[in-house]
Amino acid sequence: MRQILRIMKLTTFIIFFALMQVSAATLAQRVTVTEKTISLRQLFNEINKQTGYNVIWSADQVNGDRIVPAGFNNTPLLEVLNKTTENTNLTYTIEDRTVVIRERSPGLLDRVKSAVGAEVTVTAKVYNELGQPMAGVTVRQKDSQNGTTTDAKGGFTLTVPDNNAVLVFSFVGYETVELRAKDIVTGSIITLKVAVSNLKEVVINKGYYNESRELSTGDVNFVTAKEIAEQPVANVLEALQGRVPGLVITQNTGLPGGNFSVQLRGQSSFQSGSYPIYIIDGVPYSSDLPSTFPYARGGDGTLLNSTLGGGNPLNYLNPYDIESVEVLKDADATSIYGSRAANGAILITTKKGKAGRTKVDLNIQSGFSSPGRTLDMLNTQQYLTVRKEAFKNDGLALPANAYDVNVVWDTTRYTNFTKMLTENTAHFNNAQVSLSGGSTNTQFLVGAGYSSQNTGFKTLIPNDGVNEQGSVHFNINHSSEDQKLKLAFTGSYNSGRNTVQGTDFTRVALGYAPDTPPLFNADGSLNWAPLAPGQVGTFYNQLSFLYNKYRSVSANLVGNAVISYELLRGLQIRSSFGYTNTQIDEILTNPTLAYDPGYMITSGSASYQESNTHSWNIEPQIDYHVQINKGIFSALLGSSFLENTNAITGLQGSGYISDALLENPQSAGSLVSSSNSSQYKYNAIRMRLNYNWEDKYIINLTANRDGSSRFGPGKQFGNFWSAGAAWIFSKETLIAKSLPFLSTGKLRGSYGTTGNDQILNYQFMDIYQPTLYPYNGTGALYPQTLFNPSLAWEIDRKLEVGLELGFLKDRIIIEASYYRNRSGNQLVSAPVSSVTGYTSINENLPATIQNSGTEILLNTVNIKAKDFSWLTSFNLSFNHNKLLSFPGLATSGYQNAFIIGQPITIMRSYHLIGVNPTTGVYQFATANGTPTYSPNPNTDRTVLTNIAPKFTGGFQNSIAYHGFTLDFLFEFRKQTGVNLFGAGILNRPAGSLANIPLDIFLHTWHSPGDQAIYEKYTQSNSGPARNGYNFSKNSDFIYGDASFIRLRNVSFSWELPGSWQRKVHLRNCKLFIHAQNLWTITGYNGIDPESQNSSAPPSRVWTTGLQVGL
Amino acid sequence: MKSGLFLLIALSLGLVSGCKKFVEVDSPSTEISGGAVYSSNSSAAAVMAGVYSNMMSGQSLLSDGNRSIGFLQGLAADELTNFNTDPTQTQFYQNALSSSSNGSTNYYYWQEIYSELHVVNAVLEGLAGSKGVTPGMKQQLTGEAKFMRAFFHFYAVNLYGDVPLITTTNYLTNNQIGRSPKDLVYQQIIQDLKDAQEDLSDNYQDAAGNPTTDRIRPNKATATALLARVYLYQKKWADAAVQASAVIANTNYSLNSDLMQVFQSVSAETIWQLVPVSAASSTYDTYDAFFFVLTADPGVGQYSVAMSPNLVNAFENGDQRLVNWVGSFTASTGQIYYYPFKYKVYLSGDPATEDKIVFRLAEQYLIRAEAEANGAGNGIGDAINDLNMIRNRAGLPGYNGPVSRDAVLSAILHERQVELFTEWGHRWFDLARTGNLNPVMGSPGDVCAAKGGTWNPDWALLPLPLSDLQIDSKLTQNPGY
Repeated sequence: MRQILRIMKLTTFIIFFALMQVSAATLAQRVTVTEKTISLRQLFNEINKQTGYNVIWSADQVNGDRIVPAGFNNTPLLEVLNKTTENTNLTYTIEDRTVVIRERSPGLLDRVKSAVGAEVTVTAKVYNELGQPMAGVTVRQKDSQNGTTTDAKGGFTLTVPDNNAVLVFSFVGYETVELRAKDIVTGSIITLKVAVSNLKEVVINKGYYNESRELSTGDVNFVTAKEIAEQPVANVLEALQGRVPGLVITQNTGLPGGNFSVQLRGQSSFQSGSYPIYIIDGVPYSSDLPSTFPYARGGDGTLLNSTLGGGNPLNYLNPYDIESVEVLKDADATSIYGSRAANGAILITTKKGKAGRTKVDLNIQSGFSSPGRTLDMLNTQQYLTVRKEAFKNDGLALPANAYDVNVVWDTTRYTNFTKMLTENTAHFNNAQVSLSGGSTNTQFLVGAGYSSQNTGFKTLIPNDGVNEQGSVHFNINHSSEDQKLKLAFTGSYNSGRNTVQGTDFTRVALGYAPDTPPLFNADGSLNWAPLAPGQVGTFYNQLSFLYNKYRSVSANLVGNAVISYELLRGLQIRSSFGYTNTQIDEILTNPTLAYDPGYMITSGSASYQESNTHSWNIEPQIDYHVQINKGIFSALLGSSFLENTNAITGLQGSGYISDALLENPQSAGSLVSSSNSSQYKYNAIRMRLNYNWEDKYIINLTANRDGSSRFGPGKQFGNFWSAGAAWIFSKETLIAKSLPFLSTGKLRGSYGTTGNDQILNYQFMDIYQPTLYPYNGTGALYPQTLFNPSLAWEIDRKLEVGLELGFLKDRIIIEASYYRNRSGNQLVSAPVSSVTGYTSINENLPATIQNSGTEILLNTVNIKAKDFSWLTSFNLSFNHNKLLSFPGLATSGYQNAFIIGQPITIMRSYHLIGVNPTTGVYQFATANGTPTYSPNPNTDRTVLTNIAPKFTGGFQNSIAYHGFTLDFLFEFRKQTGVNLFGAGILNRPAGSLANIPLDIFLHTWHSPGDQAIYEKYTQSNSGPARNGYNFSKNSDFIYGDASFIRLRNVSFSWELPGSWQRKVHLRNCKLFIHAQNLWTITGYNGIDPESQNSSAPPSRVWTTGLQVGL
Repeated sequence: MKSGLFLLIALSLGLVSGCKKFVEVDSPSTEISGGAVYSSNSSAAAVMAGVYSNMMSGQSLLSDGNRSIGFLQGLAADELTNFNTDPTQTQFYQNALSSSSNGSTNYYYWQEIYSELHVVNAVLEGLAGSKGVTPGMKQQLTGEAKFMRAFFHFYAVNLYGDVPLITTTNYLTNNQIGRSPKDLVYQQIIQDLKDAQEDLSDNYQDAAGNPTTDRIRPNKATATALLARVYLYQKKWADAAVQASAVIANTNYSLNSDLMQVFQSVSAETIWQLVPVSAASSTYDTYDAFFFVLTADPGVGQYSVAMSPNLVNAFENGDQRLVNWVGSFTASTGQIYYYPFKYKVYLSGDPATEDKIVFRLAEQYLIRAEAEANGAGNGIGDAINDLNMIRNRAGLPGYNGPVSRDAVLSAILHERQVELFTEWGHRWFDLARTGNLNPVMGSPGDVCAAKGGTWNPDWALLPLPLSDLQIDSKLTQNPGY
């Protein structure tokens, strides 16, 4: 370790030594060559050495061995160049301290010569395809520095030497146009078309450095603002679903503000942290919310509102403020994040201002949402049959407390509770406005957004069930006149209010018997249907939960500043400073109204929770670029200091004076408090070396030394590294000549390591925490963990090879990659015998888990005509998980969970053979296949079910015709999952006091001889059918096909004709219809194949809107 | 330019060094690390308070409410009738526990016991190496911890038979540990109790080590009371009588003549009680009251049990305990249900006047009576005297049955049934240790069958959790599971 440090110090020093050499030379721009003649190659090297100016030349055009006259003595550079190119077919241009030597176009020389004194002035306008003027378009004379940009009306004037000069019009995102001066009639309009495919030119953010996609050695996918803008979503994660190969995002609940699980390339850890790291504008952002219960593992935080499933921190970020999301996957791309990117990194870049005229953009949309899928349940008649049959099967007469069948309740009633409780009108509203612009040196953007979405649940409290978010976003970039000093400042602030009901009525609705008495009395109060007035009711009216008011008020600030200074040419020093603060205040009240009056509860209770997370980071960095021989060498040396602290305080009050005072803890008769705080510190030093030989051969090396406060003394630091290489073979002359249809060809590969420290803080200490309740007024302590001072980094080794091919000028782009990630030294909370006093201990296991897979991305431009275009993007990912090795598995406590050679996502269960036609009860197979009613838990759990997806992907189309655009995305997953029997929907056997899905009713055993899927009804807690039910819950019966194809997103828009827009002075104006989760094809037996639980399914959202640019 | 370069070099070197300090953190401000805990009186005492608080929080486990030993073993024995569909209750009620039952039914006592054993061992180890705790406090806490270690082992051995004997916090040892023979466990229990008698004082102490009248932490008499019970269970009659006599002779304790006073927090016969810790949604005194006292039909809401006819019928005519400690509720159907009404504060907001009693003097009289009937002290005569102390207090005449050992023992067993009902699983353990479990639960009593179960003598011991058996290869399951 020490040695590596020393090496790193040494390397640093060498870099600086090299820099000093260069800097000394830059001072002069004069050249001395004492020899009479010199080869061009040698001359150019001398120029570079003596002036610091790079000389770029192509071996195709320039013969480097050509001998030219020399004998320069302190001659100015320009003179040297003029003299050297005189009487040759060569010409030169100087751009930004780079000399480019080119072949002179044959004949052009003569024409230029003949036209001397015949300068031409070109005056015209540049418009886009919609006929709108384009400001800021670069207009340049080809092969010269002569140029200008268009003004606000798209106009420009440029004087060129003669009318054969070529003018180049370029603008980001548009296809470049070249026209000869004589072809441009004064006052004419030049039209630029939107570039259909410009993937190569895209500059991707890799966190500590940027590089063009073409030259990247790593695996990075990205999603742009345009794709996000087309989706009516409240969390950017929803917008990423199905768009990134290998990234599987699951919405665990459809409730606004709810929880997501995010997994990149499979599960690499038994349990520690499966989240990628999120970085917003360079600032690390937490992957989960803090928890009051610090020793609960799972990575999910706590919200008082349990229906939100722990929430998600990205709920507090406005998705429409995002310019791009980059997903870093392989070691080459992620290793620079060292420890934290074992599960990949998701970089979020927010929108930035651009130079040009000041623009106002407005986007408003409004619509409805509804549950994506629902389950067909029984009507009263069917239900009563079931119940009566259940009692008959159990050999019982209808007992006194079977109110639903013994006519205590009105058995002619029928209520569709799903419809009543969950399918009320739900709105989705969103408005975004931004103002941006700036000059060459200073650009700015200020934006504001508002969104609201409510649940479809019934409400009793006004304004309940809404998730509202308001945000502002700002960005300012400034550079000094000489472009040496640059400053970027970006911030976003989000203020939210979530009042989503504390009870998920999706499940509640399924549980009610369809003849449940009316939920309300005539006077509007809740009906509990007691047998006698004043007594406790005959059922639990769960609408009472609607009186439990939940409110969370959140504030989230993400700020980042980057200052950079170009010390010397090619040498830049910079530092970023980031800060985030997430504050969530919650309250959940439980008024007396929420109780059955029969319980005579006289005072309500309430819970309060306040959580506050701060983090700051400082990341100084030095970048250096230099041309070495035919290649460009880049080096980066940087470090990170990061601290994250969070504090969370909870109060639980009871004995309130009045329901009206529940929001005031001061009025509680008794208060119990709980609190938790933690601190996390991270420090890293990193280095990257990159060498790019003629944009053909690229090698990229990174090294990291990371320290994390989550490990004990001596274990804090880990070293990580990666090596990546790319060969752009399409640039090889031979290939370019023999395969002219191949426009891009790149082969890349990387290998490296990353780490994982995603465990809870302080796990290496033996910590005592105050108990929730003091003992007789004095504080009490209780030990929390079995401590383990030897905890250390989990290490991931990642291997990847990729092939990128572009055909027909990149109209067809195919990218394929194969990866193999091996994750070892597993950080787990390992089960221990409860005799130790605990059920688990945090430790490193020697196990190795492998995820390997293939990802394919295909982008095609199917049709590209003047007014019609059709683009398709398809991605497909396969991941295979395998437990490679696990020494000591048999005694590890995991022996019943995992099998070497099998995926770690397997579930072991009994095999349910079916219903015995004679007895009507489920039969299971023993290990040797014989049927049994009571399988042995130790030997008979023989079925292995892998619940990880077999493949996932997306299929996107974008069709444009005149001003109309239609985009739609299908996401698909092939997987086995937990069906409704395992998803917590049916917690009692069919026949109990609860409604059941229609499917069960249709396929149940009734009498001997029946061949049925489901066993006979029972309502008993014992007996063969109940046992059958109990065992079936641990059998393969609870798994089923959960594959789906979901029409995730549809966007249809109409851009108003340019002439109309000009009349009302609009830059652009678009009307659109957006829809999310519109349609699902699945054979899943349950509510939703994505969430696979009993919560509200992902919502179907429809919106219509307007987008205007001024 | 040159100075700029130097600055850069200095900065870059600064990046490299100084990391180590940066990533070291102190313990969280809301918590405390092990070393610091045992460096002061108050924090060391707080750990024992944590044990007591834990026993009473969340209406959990050994102590209080519908997951307590008094409740669940009451269902398992012949004391309560179940009206609930909850699997846990049903499985206890029908004596149908299994090692792999759905849910964690069979973990209830086991995990609680071993979790608490870990803490008391941590206290003992922490105190042994501590310099900051004063000798007096160290002695007090060592005594409390040893007492509690005996207490938890006592329940373990009676619920599960041979059990792992835990005297260290080292998880490597405890994670692969086998069962120790019952006798060995008892040997440790007796040793710990004798040590506790040495360490603890006669008076009660509060968390600061000052004498108090609150009987909410164990004192010397508490250790003696448990030791008496341990000897009784071991059939060491003379020893049991000696220990019980020591408590009975202690002037701090006397039988309340008023039965209504027995379960009050200021009761004179209480030897040790646990303070209910305030739960968020309620300020009930004890969860026993909350779950036992019926204000609606059993089977509705939290009202899931009633006293079994077996128990109700066990009371003799004129027994004032039936009046003072048993409540009744007339259901909508007209049927009358009886419920244990020892603890009375069941409504949220009512003044707090009750704690959960763990040891009380009446049991000591009955222990001594049983020991004497078996030959300790002056024999049968003394046994009847002690028995009559309890009978007379309940408004019953003195024992007038045959003066034979068996008859008196049977009378004592009966007296324990009606005196100690739904307290701490006494009935279940009494039946088991006196050999009456099989005749009562199985044929000829057939209580188990009446509850819908099928009796098997193996059910006298509870199953060990399957998960622990899977992890710890040295652990074996009890027969029959």
